[in-house]
Amino acid sequence: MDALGQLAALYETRTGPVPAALDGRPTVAYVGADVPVEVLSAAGFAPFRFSGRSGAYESAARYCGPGIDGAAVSQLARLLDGDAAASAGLTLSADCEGTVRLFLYLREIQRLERRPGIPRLTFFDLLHLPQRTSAVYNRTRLDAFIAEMSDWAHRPITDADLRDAAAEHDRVRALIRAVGTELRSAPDGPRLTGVQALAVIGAAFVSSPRVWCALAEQLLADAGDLPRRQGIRVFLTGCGHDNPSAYQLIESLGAVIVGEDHDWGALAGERDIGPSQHIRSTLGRSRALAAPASAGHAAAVRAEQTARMAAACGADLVVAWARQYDDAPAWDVPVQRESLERVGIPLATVPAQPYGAASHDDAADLLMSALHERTAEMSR
Amino acid sequence: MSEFTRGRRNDASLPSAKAATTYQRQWFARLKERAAAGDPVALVNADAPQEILRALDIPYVVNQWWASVCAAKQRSGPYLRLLAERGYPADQEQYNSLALASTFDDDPPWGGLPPISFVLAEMTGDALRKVFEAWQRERGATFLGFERTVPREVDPYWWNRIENDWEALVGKQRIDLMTAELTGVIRHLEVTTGRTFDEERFRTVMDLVNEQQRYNRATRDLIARTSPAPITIADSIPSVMIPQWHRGTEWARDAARTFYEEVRERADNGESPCPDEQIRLMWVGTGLWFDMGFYSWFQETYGAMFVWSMYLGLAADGYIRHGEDPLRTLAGRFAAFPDMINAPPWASEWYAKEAVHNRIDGAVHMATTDRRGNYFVNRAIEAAGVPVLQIVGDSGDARSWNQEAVQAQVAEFIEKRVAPVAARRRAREERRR
Repeated sequence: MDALGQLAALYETRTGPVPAALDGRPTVAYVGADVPVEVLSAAGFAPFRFSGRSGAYESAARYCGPGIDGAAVSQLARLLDGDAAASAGLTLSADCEGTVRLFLYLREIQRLERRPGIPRLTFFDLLHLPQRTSAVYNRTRLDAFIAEMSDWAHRPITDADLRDAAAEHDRVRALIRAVGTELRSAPDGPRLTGVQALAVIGAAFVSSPRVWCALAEQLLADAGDLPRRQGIRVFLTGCGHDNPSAYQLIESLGAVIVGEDHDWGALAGERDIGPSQHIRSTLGRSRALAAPASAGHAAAVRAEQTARMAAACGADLVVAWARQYDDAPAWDVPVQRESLERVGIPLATVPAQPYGAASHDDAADLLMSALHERTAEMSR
Repeated sequence: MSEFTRGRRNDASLPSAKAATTYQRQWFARLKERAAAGDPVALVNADAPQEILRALDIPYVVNQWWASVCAAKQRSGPYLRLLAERGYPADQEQYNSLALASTFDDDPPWGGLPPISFVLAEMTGDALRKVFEAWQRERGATFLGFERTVPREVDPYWWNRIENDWEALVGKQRIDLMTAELTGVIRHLEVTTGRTFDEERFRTVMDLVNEQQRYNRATRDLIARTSPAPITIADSIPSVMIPQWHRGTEWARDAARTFYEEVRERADNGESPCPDEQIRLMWVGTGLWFDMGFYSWFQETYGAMFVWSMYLGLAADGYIRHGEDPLRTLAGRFAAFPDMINAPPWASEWYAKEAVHNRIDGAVHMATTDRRGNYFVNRAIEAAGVPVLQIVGDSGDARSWNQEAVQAQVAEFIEKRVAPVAARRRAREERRR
């Protein structure tokens, strides 16, 4: 199997049970992009990003009424079904309300009716206002999180350990960026479809940095063998996508997704730690402020990032895809539209889509119309 | 909302409710005069620390109060359409976004809000920060946000400790953060308005808030132990909440005392809107502002009174704090405030405790979304022996409210599940007499 095939196969493992170990290290499952995987690595664990799975809701249905993001409901169902039972623990963060609710509900379920299949869990309460008050709080929480991971691992975590882990994950982030610039952004056409790129990047969250970096380097080295894709170049903004259903729909309509600003995609390559004398402060700042997702960040900051990244990809059209009960992205749209107007890229919106649905009929109609309109504009 | 349900109002029976409503109109007129004369006006969310504005003498309007006025004037549907026309979502945070929407209306209720200079809000959920940033973008108001924090572990039974032991209960880091945020906000307001934060005034404000809420606690306890209940929630909500938005003033403290005295007098005289009280009901959720007459139908039909809402309950349990440092004490009041009504286990265990304390026979839980942790709230109340009916509704959005259908749903719930519980409770109480 070539590197692309191996990365795609690794990506598929995200919806199965969390393995007990990766590359000889015990896994710790994590939910939320704010979890500092560098700390898990520094403790000797293998971070394994825990996703939702389309269709997996039943076990969580009694606990979650309408209004909870379907991704979080699905994650809760998988956890109740024991999908993380083999891991050494579960860490969650405050990256969005869905993850916060997931933590609150898990904590309460374990208080009221303890489930043996749910591993020990903890919560990293990282805040996002760009103010010193939040940074001071974040530092206390980060120190506590590092201490707790040290307890889990039965070993001290030094700043040198954190620096080494940061360098290892910076290497992953650099390669995610390289996949973007070398395989997706070229003006004569990307060599990866959006579906493929999502899998390549997503594989980094469920495999060891050593294994993933080797495969990504091989993929980049062999890139000349891959055909160039044609079609309207779409940049995807809005909610996060832990599965390819939106990508498949958009690309089935003749477009190709050349970039995105969600943390299961290219945004994951945007928060380097770098060499730092004050590694803990840098870690906290990076997680809190770099690479803003929609939830927790100002619409203006988010919109500036969308315009910058979309322009860098040479996008013809930005699609703002919003998921039902993932409330933040829809509020960004008016500001994103203004920012994108300044760089000459139109915006199409796809509101309130169900999580991981097999079909998105209303979205298909909206997208077809937007793509036709953009094609007509570009041919004039 | 069907024509059948449109605009039923509750005619408040208590003098304090009428007085509060009259005062609110006069206060709002004065506030607009001050704004016209150049005073900066703030918009605050319900769970923001309004006490600092009081100490700075910066007038403010509470977002949820204004939303309730808009909803009561049947404007929620048109206002949500105004939001949508500007590209904002109209299907989330309706209650919190109506005030912004009202600024897009050419003919808003009460002549509309004055120009807003500052917005103060805590940021639970993913959209609230964006809603208040929109105030900045659309209306030039400076948004001063407070972080929402989530503790790793909590003591579920917060009401036993929170008055005095709030530092340990809420957590030092959370209190440190909010104290630092408050310090920053005060300095910003001092610099931009030219006012000086009056420390002595602030201490007085904090004392007045405690006094006011002690009256509310006495009122809650009185209603809890009195049958037939001297008032319903349609009476208590205006008498509690209008003074709540003026907390830290002598007027608000006195209004709470007057409210207590009125309820005391009614209890002493055996007066009740439903002398033949058979069933005591609890309303979980925000008020049904656009159909406040909804509640009274059940007392006429079943002798079923809605005697409890979170407004008086939270006033009784949620605000009182004692501490040496008033700013830190204020942080102790608000750093975990959303947890009390919206996050398990604080919310769920408290609703259950209140159901027992108020001798409740059945709870009607209105929710559009699961932000409250509905399963855990319902489970806790049911575990306390009180059946729960969850209904769909949103205080800030009358569009989806089907009063006929909900009324039938609640009626069936009362007949089938609540009436037997109430009968057992009455028999039990009879035996104890």
